[in-house]
Amino acid sequence: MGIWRALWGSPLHERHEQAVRQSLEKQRAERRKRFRVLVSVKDEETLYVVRMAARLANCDTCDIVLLYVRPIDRSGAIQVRLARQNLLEEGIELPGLRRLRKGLDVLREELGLPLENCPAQTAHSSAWGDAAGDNKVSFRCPEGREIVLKLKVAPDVVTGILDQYELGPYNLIIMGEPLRWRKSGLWVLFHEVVAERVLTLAPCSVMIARDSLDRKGFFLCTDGSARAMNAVRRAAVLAYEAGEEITLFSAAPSRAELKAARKAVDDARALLEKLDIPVKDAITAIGDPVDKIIERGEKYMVTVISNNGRSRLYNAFFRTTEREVARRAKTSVLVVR
Amino acid sequence: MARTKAAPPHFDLARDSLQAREPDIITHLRRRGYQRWLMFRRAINLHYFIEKRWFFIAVFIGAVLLMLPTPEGLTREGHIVLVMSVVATILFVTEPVPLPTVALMIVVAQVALLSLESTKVAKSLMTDSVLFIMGSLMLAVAVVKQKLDTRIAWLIVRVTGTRTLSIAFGISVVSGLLASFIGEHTVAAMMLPVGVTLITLTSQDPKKVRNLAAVLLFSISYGCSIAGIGTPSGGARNAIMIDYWQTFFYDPGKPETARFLIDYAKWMAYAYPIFLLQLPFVSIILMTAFKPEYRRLDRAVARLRKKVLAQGPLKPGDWVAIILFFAILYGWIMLSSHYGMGTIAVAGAAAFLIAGLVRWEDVNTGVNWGVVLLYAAAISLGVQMKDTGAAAWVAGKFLDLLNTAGLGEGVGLWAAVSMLTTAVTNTMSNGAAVAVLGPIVLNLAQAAGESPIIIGFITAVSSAFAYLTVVGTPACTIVYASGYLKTTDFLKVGWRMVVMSTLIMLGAAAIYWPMLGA
Repeated sequence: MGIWRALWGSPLHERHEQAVRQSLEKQRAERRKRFRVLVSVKDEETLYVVRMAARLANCDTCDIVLLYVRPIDRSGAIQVRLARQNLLEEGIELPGLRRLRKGLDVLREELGLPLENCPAQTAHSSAWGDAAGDNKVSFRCPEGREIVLKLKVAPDVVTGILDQYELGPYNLIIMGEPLRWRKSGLWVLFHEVVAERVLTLAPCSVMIARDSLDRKGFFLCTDGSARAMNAVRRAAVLAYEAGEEITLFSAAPSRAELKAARKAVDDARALLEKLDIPVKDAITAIGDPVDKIIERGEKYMVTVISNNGRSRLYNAFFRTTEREVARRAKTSVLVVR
Repeated sequence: MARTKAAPPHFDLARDSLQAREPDIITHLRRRGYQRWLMFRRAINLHYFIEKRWFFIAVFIGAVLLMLPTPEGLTREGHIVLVMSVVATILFVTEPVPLPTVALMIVVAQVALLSLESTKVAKSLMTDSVLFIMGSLMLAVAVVKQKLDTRIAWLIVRVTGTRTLSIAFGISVVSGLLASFIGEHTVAAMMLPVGVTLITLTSQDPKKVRNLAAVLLFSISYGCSIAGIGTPSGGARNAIMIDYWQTFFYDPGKPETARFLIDYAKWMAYAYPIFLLQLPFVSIILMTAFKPEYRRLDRAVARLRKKVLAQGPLKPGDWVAIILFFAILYGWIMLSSHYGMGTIAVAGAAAFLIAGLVRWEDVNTGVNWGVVLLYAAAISLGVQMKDTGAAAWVAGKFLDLLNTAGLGEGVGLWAAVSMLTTAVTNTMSNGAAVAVLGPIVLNLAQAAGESPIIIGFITAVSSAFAYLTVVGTPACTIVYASGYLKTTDFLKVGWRMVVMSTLIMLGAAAIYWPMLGA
């Protein structure tokens, strides 16, 4: 009992402990009633991720959290820390903060939010012994929407994003297309693909955003499975609320499977009609599903595909449709979990 | 009756669309488990074997090499020391463990594998050079804490005017002059706010000042890098080389070996002109590699002026700091041959602490004590390399290789040593590079009949040519931390710097150093 208490117990009085837990639960329950989008901001060239978040989460019950994760300085780099401290003491902003401010400007422009009139709360917490630590500025708009800027320090970017999810939870994580997917050669060996790991490890849906905002519509892919149908339904609601048209798609690997593909899109259409969500088009194609989804989905703003639901181990060793589509697509890809 | 049109459906996104996980018990436990896992991973990293793979590979290679028969001409002890050096080099380059850990391992291995007495190994760790490195690092923190950076920036523009080229040159000169005495990493940390202040005062949009930022920030880092060789206190590598010359070649019984006792002033006579010669080229190279968007920085300078005026005149404490700084310089140049450079460095650090200009807590947190330990152990290993004959053996083999390529003497040998050092220093810290290569190249010089002083200087000076990578020198890492530079910028301008520095150094080795009796 003593060991159990030491490992899992709390030094607080039972009533106090319960009150703490209840307030946390209440906060989480409140958050769960809202559509929360976590946007991972990387650099100023990929601010279209913020624009995409503004397009998809444009309602009063939507919260947007802009996150910039700065990896902890390498061990022994005391001088880098000293330099950072000097910069902070001089009142010079850290690079991440600059990017988050740019992101905020984009949100202000896209959503027309009067953020200067919204009460702002700032919070700072020390993290990993870093001079700057974690910093947060949140704006609460009169209609209840919350916009948060978060500058986080973490051992690596992936851990930072997943850590932030734990504080959430979130309905959607949006991040830009990693450079490594666009480049080739020796360069790729020296850069970790954050998006790939988040795609595998995140507990919620993940969007790999590309600069596809000039295009229109959601391209919803289904293979007829219950998981895919569920994804179609949920993504269709998002598309409908965002005012985007919906196109259903199913690919048959061979001519023999065309009938099943047609049935899949018909079922999906029926499912959405029941919900009074209009479907613009429903199409099928014969060929490798990955190639066909990429080819046909190119002219839409977002391609939606469901997560395969397999274990991380399987995903680590085998080619999966959603990862291939996310990697090779020319448009934004939403992987629904 | 006309049918009323149904109202469009409305959905609750949080409920009907993409799901955040429901608060069921499994999710809750999984989330708690994940958090516990993160906490656990923070303490004991389960990716340990992947992250530390190079450590295990290095140890495995070391074990295999130890089991191999001792090569002909090498003693068993020499064999062990050589294997230790190979393992240490792999760990220096790949950094799977914090670098000071390598120092601790070197100490343990000397006792365990070479059966040396623990007290003897401990004694070999502390020399005047190590004391000097420690004192210099403490002094550097004390100087940075005086917060003179805005004034320095003002001083620069007062002299240079508001032209971008002149300011860039001024920044290189000031960074260089300071870095030549108190260590490049600290000067870079001190000057970075100066550079960033000038950049942000010109424009808040980084895209509009990309090239300007590159010119000003590289002026800091390269100004510091080329200056680090100027004096022994400019970098630990210089002190290491001085220690090697003394340990390897100086014999109190032979007065003719006294030329291997290189004091502060003597080092400056050899190396300072090389730094000064490189200075104008840095600005020219930077201005040609990056064409700055602004030819003049009047706006930034006006704002800087406002900042300086707001600070008021220099306070008494600032004057004391400046006087102390110059007193220490005087001590190093005029008195180090008598009292030792290390003693003067620690005396200076003590003076700053006594005068209350810096708190011990700041010194304690600002000094990278691991570096002191690292260089102490590296020097100790270098001495073992020499004592066991391992360095001579490697030098002989390397010389044979160079002879077959026709580079066994003269300028060919110098260029080969310089290239070897440049390659090594771009992959590990320059101090570690000199510590590893020092014993080998000095033995090489002896075997080839070249002057160990010239070869030693070539190695020490070339170790500053880590211009190509972000991690090459602390100064580069620091300016990169500002967020204005890309990794490719270092390659773009770095190769020009390497060529320029190498040519100037080889010129000095051929013409200038022999005139000083090297």
